[in-house]
Amino acid sequence: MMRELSAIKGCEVIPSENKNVLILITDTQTKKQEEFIKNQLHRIGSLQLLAMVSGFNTSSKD
Amino acid sequence: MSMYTSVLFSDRRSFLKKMAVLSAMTAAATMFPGILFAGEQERGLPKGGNLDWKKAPCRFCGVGCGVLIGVEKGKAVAVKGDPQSPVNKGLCCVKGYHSVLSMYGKDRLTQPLVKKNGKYVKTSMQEALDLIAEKMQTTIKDHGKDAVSIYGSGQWTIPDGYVASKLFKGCIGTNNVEANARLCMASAVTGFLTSFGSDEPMGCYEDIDHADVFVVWGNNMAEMHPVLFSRMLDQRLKRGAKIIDFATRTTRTSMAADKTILFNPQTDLAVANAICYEIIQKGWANQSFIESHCNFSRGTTEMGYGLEDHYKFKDKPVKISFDEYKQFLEDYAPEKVAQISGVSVKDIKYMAAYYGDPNKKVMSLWCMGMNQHTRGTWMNNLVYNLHLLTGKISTPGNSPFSLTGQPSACGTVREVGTLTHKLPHGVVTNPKHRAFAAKIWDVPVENISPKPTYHTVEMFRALDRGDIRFMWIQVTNPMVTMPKLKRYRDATKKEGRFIVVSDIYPTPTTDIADVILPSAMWIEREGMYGNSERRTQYFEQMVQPPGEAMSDTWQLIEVAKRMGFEKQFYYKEETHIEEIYAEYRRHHEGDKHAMAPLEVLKSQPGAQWPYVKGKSTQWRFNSKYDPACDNGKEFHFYGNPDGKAVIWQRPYEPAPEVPDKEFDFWLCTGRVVEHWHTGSMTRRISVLHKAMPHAYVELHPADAKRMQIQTGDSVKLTTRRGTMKLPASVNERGVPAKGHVFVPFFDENLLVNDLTLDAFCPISKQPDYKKCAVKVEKA
Repeated sequence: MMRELSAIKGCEVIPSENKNVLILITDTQTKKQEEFIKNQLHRIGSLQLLAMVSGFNTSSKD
Repeated sequence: MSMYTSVLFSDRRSFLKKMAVLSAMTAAATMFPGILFAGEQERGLPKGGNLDWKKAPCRFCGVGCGVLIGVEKGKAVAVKGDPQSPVNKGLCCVKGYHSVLSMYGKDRLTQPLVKKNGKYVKTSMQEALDLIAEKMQTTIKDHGKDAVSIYGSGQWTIPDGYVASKLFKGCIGTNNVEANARLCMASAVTGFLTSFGSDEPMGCYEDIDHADVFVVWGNNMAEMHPVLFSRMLDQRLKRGAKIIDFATRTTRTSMAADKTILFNPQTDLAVANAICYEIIQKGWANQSFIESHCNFSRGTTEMGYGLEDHYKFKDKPVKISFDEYKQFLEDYAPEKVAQISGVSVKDIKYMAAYYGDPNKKVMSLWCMGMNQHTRGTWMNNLVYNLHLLTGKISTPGNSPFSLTGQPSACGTVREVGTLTHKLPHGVVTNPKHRAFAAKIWDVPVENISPKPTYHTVEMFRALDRGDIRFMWIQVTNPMVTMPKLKRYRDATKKEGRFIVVSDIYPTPTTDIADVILPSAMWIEREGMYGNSERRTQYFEQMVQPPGEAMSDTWQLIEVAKRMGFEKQFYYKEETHIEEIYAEYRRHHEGDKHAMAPLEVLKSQPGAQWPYVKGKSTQWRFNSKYDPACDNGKEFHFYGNPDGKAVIWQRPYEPAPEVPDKEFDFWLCTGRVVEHWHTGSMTRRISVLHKAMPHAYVELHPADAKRMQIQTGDSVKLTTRRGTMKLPASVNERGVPAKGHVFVPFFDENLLVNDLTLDAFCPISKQPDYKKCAVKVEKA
């Protein structure tokens, strides 16, 4: 799964210590790119659960 | 997060990316038990800078992870797990990883504040200390020495607690010294003392690497002790070790366990006895171990719950035979216990089979579930019974292990002895112990009162009644944590009470203070903590405290000198920590409790007492490891005069308040992984605060459906003490049993302790925060 995820453009993978969970960071410029990644992710059969946790919108002063 | 921004990120995009990673790591920690991202934490550290890495024990829980703090230009800017530490082997949980940020909240207290005409006025530290000393002296003159008190904490460093005890017990002559550890591990202390005559675990964390089975008694380790839990998960992966989660609520620990067994509140007493019954019935008891190393006793029963002021109780142990004990257990056959506990006969036998199997090494672990219990001492005794009956104790992997929640609950409160009945070595009631302490403290022996005064709940009741007039609170937040909080909050506001609070941030407790002293925290000063496995760890001062902030140790020394105790508080400012530790070590001389010299603590990630002939002791009471064993046998429980441990006959008794027609739910309170205790530090760490911004009430999905409550809906909780509204949480992180609700206590804006009951264990005097009756309504 890690290999498959890393192969997607704009995706960075961070594995955890216990190997069952990883953090996936996506870096996209447009809605179209987001949709593309979403579709790619859905095609990965070994991915059991995808939880979205980001959505940070911090001000530049932070 | 500005500190991280400046150090770590070259542009805004990489900053946002890093924030997303931190956020994901934090979220993962709440979703997946024991999850750790050590590799990513390492990668996230600043590279190529001039960081000076220095070792310290973590500021937060009682696990005592070794951390390395990166300091740059006088500021702590990074944390990583210390790979040299045998505690965490380089790992760090989310709180530990973010720990240095807790020092840099925008509202740090930097200057003393004195309340004048209802308003806080900034003053100098010298003036504030003068006022405190003067107020203590006039209170003693007007109301007697037992009218002044100090309430400290398991976050007190060893020197903090030591000088507090010396000032109050040795110099002033009052035993009005208590600490918040009374609220979190007093039952563990009395459990150890009644079973073994000596406090603190016989084993150590290395037991995790040897045990075949982990039985977790009422403790959500995945959230409360994530690093130790990750070590257990590692052993499951490598060796197939089993994890049994015995609890009243389904948690993140349950998710990772091989089996979760839910029991009705308070019936853990009955289930533990049923396991003992089964062990004996099946012939699994280790007869030769019992004959050589154990006695049997029973104590007083039906002793109440301490709900009334001036409640007193003293247990009267009576020795009994093994046959009498077996007869007592007849009431606890699994078939009978299944009916009250809700635990099936099969599950009771399942647990008993692991304890009974001579080829399985078993580790029992517990924390607040067993300790915050109106029969907490009994419950601790009963788990020891399981290990004593089977001889599974004091050997690698066979270990009853009581966990702690604060960095120095063991090191300071238990070992220095900052509880009303304690001295650094022994108890105030023992004339020899008083004489020993008086000699080291350089005070007349008559100064030390032979009578314990108030345990924590009673101390606050005494403040309410007016028996106590002056209270100095350091490193703790009782205006969030006291049970039946309203009574004690109102008490502090009464006329003629004077409260001093030393802390680092404004809290509900500083709100009731007459004087607020800004404290230097953790690595802003020098000190030591002692963790759950008897490991004492040293940390040097790495950064300057802000403004006029001063260590709690030095605050106490300054006041002591002003009160005329210069002779006893002779320490020099530059070397006082070293001098205090050298003096403190004298109290524990000898093979049973010797503490490592300071130079050893400075050179390695801690040492475990008894530290004898240059060596830590990992397993006490086992002659192979423990040099204090001298009875010529394999084991020696030398804490008791006859060298034997006690198997206690302790029955099941119900909780003081159980659900009824009007208040028809059980209310349980507890913690969450993101926040440490009352959240006064972790709520100032942006990523942790955002991950868990407020408290909530968990309901079982069936109850929620029946009451038409969904996640986020407002729910009204009412007990006989008070009422409050919280947002609902249904089928999220934790799921209580039907008819139960759970509320975390970290949120000072949603004070669940306004609802809790101040009943306590009559032996340990530790309150039960896990059980009271509550009415639940959709608001």
